[in-house]
Amino acid sequence: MRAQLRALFSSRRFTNLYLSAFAGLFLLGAFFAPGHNAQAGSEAGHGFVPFALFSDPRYSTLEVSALMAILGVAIAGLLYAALLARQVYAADTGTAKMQEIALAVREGANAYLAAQFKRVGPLIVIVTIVLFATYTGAESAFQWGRAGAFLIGALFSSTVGFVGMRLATAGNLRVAAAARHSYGEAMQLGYRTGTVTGMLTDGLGLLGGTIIFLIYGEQAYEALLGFGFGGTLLALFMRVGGGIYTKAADVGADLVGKIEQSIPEDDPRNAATIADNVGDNVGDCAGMAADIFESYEVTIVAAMILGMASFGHKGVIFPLLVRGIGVLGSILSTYTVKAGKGDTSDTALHSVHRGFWIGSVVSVVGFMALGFAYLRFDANYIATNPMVKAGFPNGDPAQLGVWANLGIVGLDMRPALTCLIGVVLAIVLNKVTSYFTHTKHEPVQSLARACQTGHATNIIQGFAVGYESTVATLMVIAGALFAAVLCYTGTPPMFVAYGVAMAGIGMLTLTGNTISMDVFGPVADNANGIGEMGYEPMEMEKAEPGSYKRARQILADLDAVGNTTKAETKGIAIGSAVIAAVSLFSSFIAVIAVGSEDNIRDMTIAQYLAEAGKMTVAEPIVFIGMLIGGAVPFLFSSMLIRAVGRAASQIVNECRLQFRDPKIVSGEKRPDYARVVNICTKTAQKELVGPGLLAIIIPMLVGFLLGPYAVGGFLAGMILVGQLLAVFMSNAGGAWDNAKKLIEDGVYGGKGSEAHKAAVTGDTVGDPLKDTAGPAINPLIKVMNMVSLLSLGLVLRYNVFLQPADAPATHRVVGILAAIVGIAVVSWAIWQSKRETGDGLGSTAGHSPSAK
Amino acid sequence: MDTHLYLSCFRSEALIASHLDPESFGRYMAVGTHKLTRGAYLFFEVTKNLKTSFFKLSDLAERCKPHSDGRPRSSKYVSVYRVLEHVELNELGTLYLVSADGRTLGIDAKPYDTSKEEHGVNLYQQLCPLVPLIVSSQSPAQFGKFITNSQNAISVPRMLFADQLLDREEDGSLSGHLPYAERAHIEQCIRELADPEGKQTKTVSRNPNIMAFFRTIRRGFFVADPSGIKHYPFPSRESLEIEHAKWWRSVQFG
Repeated sequence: MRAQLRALFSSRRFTNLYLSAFAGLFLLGAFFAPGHNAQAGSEAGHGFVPFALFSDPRYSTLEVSALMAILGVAIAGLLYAALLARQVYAADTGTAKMQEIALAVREGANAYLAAQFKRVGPLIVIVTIVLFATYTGAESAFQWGRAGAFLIGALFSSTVGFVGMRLATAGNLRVAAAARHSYGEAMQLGYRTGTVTGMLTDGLGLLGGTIIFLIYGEQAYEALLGFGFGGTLLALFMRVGGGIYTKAADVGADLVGKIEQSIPEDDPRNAATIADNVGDNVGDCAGMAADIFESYEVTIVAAMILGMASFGHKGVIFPLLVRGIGVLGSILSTYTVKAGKGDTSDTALHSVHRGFWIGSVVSVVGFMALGFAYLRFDANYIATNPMVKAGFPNGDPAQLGVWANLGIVGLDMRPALTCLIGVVLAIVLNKVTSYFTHTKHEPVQSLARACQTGHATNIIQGFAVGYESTVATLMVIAGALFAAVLCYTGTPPMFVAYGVAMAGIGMLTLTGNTISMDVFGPVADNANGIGEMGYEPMEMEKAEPGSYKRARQILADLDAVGNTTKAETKGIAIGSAVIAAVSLFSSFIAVIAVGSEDNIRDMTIAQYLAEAGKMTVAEPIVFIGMLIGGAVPFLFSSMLIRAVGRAASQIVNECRLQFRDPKIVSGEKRPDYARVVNICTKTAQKELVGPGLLAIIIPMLVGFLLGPYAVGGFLAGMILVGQLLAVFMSNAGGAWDNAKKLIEDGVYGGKGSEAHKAAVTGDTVGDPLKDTAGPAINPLIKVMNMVSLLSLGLVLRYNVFLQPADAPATHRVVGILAAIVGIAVVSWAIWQSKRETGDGLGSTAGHSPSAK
Repeated sequence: MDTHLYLSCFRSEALIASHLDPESFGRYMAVGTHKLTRGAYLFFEVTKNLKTSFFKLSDLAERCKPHSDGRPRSSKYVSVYRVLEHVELNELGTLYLVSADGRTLGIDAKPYDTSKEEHGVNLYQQLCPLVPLIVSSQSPAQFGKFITNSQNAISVPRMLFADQLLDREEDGSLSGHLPYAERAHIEQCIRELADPEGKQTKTVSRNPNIMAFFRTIRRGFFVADPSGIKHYPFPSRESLEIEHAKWWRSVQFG
């Protein structure tokens, strides 16, 4: 019985089921909660009436229809994803041997996600209850809504990750099978596999935001925050767990395979080979998809919240419409990505880039036209939404510059222009990332040159390139923020923040393309592995002379294209984190200004400016918060990098053990891949708890101990340092990786040379930076932002440092108790990250690979 | 149990009796023993009826017995000194090339057509009994004759050497795709050979660091002595990539 229950709770389906049921319960609660009283609320001006906008005279029929159309577009995006998924599944699945390898990868990936859901599921339930129980406002519908939306956000995020990974593990086999016939077929299948995940992200993100707005209207603040937090928290776990898994498997496989046994990549004799391939899926597919999904969610949440507080409902509907256009742009442009029989990696890459450009043009033309038609602020609108006045010079739309109203009184193109800034930012960030990490450019070439003089010079040069790329990336982001700020010069900070949030919307307009490009990387990588392990050279040659060599070349070319596209998208992921965090920061100040999330609609500009003025580094408590915030990304990264090292050491020991069997070395016996997969799965799940808790607890701990202004400083420090560190780690790691590839392609001696050995060292150092710690900082920034916002009500009431003179003594006591619990949890997480296991690197003496 | 006789010629010279077939023996020498051979390993299968009396082979059957539990004997050393010089060219069978991870490729000797030799500089890696890396303007046959000529001040009775790729750019510098350890020195030695009054062979390194060795092989391996030269041609790139794909992939790194 106990075993059956255990099996039941270990099942991913069961976890999904109980989380969905739980979400349903909370949503029902939002409608039918006993405390809900629309009439009473209406009198107070805050009552909640679900779907009120359908009967609200301020919303035109066109606007309501447009919202329904957005729902339709979101569903169209999902249907397009389903159509592409059918195409992928219908493709040829190759030989039995290829299927056997792909099945091992798929089973490993499924086992990982099942373990992930088993561990994260209960935590999600606990957080839901905490979110519900700690709501400090008066409206019970919001209390139920934020908890329910949190669950839905988490479920959507996990769905994106899970489906993305499932598709990737199906697509890799089919790409390997298609490569035996033609380049175009293989390329198209690989890209479309990624597009399924991309469109799922688009569709679910848009669906969630739109439904919440339809239900809650202008009172969607709490539900939107819950929705964003759900997606973000799941993404953090997917990123951290996937990052640890993928690099532990990769480093473990390389150390024993390439370094100790001198066997090549993807060699079936290496027990870690399957885990390495599984890692590509759980890290780069599931992790990245969930990460971008949460960026997609958080930017729309930030834009909608700030839109409501600045431009009224038009400020909310416009970003939703832009997203809808983005989905259409992605559908059109991803379908144009094709390759012919005679294509090469260069022409294929050109096709992918052309798709991105087509999507960009469609989106820009679409939202500029939409802005021209929709962003009209006439006297009637301003009368019903008086806060809008502050967004115009002297409160008069007629005084807006011609660059913004094109000479038409009442027209305000600034939201569309800031979207355009976002699109340009995405393109420029792609270019900057590409410049610092691509083999064609000087930074990577300088690393390859440095390899000629040894390991240390490669590492030194890598640091220099990484630091330089950080400056370049930050300057681009700062430039985009400045451009958005310029658009709203002279308006209150809330409007400026809306401009920044709209830049985030523009930046992720082509999420479908971005994720397609990213997921294509691991799919092509896995397909290459399946080709290596599963192709039968002699039989293929017998059937068609030259076919084996051609197919291997196609897979190698696709792998090269995938590496490039994957690297390019990392810039967007990091940039979007900063944009979302900066815009959410304004919401944070707004809540402090009015004391509660429920009152945010009543905030005056004077209140906002008064609170914003207190967030200064001249205030020591803010500065202390900033110092702590700046230190957290380092602590978080240290924990993740240690986790990779510990997990990798266990894998090394297991592989060494298996290599002692001469039949495995001779290829007569298959290694036990499942043992390594299990080690990776278990250690990744175990190791993600500490960093995950750190992300949730530290902002609250700072808040309870030092008060809300210190949290403001904390967020500023954390955003700045987190961004710098994330860019440095991603780009330095990417540059080291590609310097190795450049040498392997035949410079400075190629494979096996001394320069190659130095390049391998650089790549190994960069691996946990670029694929574990660096990418995990994106969701970390947003989780900490969200936690700060969601716990702000509690922090304002119970913090230890800044209690009003008339506050009950119990408030301070509660704050002290909360801080003690927080310190205990953080201390445990840090201790956990430092512990050495019995099978750690330090205890491997005597485990010589040759020992018998 | 059949007993094979193997001439281990790189990295150590020895005559070894074994019950293992060549593939298993190569794997055993590369990865199956505490005394690992790091990097490339080469050995010949030689006839059991060696003409020489230098080795004590009469009691070989007695010495090379299966283990008490019936397992085959992996290696029984017959000699570890001056082996190649006592094995005639016609007694050398297939040459086996073993990757660091234990994959074995066997290549057979073919008649060497000296008329097809090209003029120019060659890079020879001597493998047995000595191991210097040499640049030479001599063809393999000329070089073999030269190095085994007892009339010279310095010679060896018989020599195994490999002819390595020496790809150069238009400006004469070595191209980047091969792992030459002493790049600048090789280029310097090549320049010195250009002097018609100068030497025909020049030592690049006495103890070269051979990396990704099999990836650098050009025409193949040669065994030369005063009686002639035996050529073991290296398979074509296409054959390596298709027929010996696993071996070829394994030797890319080490």
